[in-house]
Amino acid sequence: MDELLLSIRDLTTQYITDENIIHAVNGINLELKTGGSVGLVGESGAGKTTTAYSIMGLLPKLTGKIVEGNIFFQGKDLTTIPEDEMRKIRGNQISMIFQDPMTSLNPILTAGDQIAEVLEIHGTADKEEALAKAGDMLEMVGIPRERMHEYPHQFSGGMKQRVIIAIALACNPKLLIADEPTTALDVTVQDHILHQLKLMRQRENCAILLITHDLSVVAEIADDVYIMRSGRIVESGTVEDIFYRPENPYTRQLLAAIL
Amino acid sequence: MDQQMRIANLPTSRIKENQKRKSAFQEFWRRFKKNKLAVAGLIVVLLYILMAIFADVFFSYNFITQNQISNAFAKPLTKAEIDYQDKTTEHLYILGADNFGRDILGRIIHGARVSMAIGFTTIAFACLIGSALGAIAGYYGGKIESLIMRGTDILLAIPNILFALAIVAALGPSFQNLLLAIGITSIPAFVRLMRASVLTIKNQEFIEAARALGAGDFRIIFKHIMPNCMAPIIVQATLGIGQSILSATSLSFLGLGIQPPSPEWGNMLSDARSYISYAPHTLLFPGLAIMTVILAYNLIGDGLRDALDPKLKR
Repeated sequence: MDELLLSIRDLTTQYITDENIIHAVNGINLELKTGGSVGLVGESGAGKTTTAYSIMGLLPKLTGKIVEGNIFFQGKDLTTIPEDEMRKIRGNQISMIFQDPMTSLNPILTAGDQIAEVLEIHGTADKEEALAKAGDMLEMVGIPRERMHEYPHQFSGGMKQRVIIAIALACNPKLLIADEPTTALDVTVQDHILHQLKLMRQRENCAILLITHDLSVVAEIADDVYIMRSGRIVESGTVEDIFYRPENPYTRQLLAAIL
Repeated sequence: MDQQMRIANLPTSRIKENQKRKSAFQEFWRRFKKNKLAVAGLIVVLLYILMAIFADVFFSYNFITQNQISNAFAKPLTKAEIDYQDKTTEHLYILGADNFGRDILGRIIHGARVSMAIGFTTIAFACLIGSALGAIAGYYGGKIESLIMRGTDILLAIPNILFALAIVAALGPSFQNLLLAIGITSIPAFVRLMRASVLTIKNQEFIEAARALGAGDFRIIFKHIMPNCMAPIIVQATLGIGQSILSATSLSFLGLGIQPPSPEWGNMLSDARSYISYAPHTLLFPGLAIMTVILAYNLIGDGLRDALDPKLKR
């Protein structure tokens, strides 16, 4: 249970444009155990999302580049494997939840079809099985399975985010990257979504890398916390360490902000 | 226990009671039928399509291509003797006869067959090729885009009719060459439209999300991007059918399309042109046929534009 699932070593990612080079991530180290839960916290522009995109191999093709470091996922270095192998990992072993549930679903496909799609892509089920599984997944996130034939605009924001969680978890991934999953939602709905994530983590034994700017969200689900600023990890430790014995002044600032 | 309670109390259970699910098509139809002109256009087009399908039921092809010189320029609604299949019978010329004594109504009905066929096949061809090229150009960008877009720019720089003329003149006037010529000239509109739509769709988050699920380029283009760009394409296709019918009649009028004695609205006009002051009805009815069809397609196109525009959703 204690083995390492994800290990990031000296990751340095830059955006290279004609005018200049943006140093988005500058040599960060991060570890995540199988079934574990880690919070990556920082202000906007700190490089959190760039870190997530580096792991997923989804950096913009023309500008984004991993210049240094390695990302080991189950012993494989994700920075060196070819694109078609990476595609088999995406959605299947590593899933990602995006910030804005309003725009993360295809408006013209039903909820059920979108959950079934990821199963089809990875060839784990034929069309009929995939739809049946889609219904199961919806029920698992607390949406009646009859609603799988409805379109995204018929769901509320919180329910859309739960549909997205269902999509992300359909293939039983080992790692779920949640990029600000609750930022665009109401405070009350945030609570439900965080609960959902916690529940899923227990049920599916899926590790979670939670990216957020909100320390209170981290307190809810993470075991370990990494505080990020200007592309560097400024402090890391268990939730207790960070909350009760913060060392870095920036961490203290963040904590002061939520109290 | 506590967790289960919370899930049971989620807003879902409240919204659950069965709101009647309207399919996308029903919703579209409800909005389309509000536009009375568009519905009228649809009815006219359907009538022409039925006419085209059942043309042989009204008049046999042999009859409307056979000369009845003695009845040349018969006025509308006159009865006259005709020799047909070795028999002499009475025939009522509802819309009169042309310069060879052929029934104008019959020729319009059979001409509808040609026009409808040209309209649908050329636009289907242009729509398939044009949208695929436009989607590829918009999605990949870079060199591929430059190549495709400069190609369409070149096509656009040549006047449509001139280009079609060149193709038909080079390959010889035949039905297939006419289709090819009009089909090719209709492509650029679809390429540009599709590329523009793809550019707005491809940066949306659900495309990124699809990529994060492991979807490949092919799936993303054809399953996620293109279906989201269909509304303007459908409108363009409808308007395009009208345009391509018009191009076909123009080419036939110039003698490069459908060859006489086969009936086609354009060549009917061309034949009748010399007799405009002596027998205006020979020109009037084929002209009206062309006008009503094009108008009907344009009305449908406008109606579709309104019905498919998400900004006008009520």
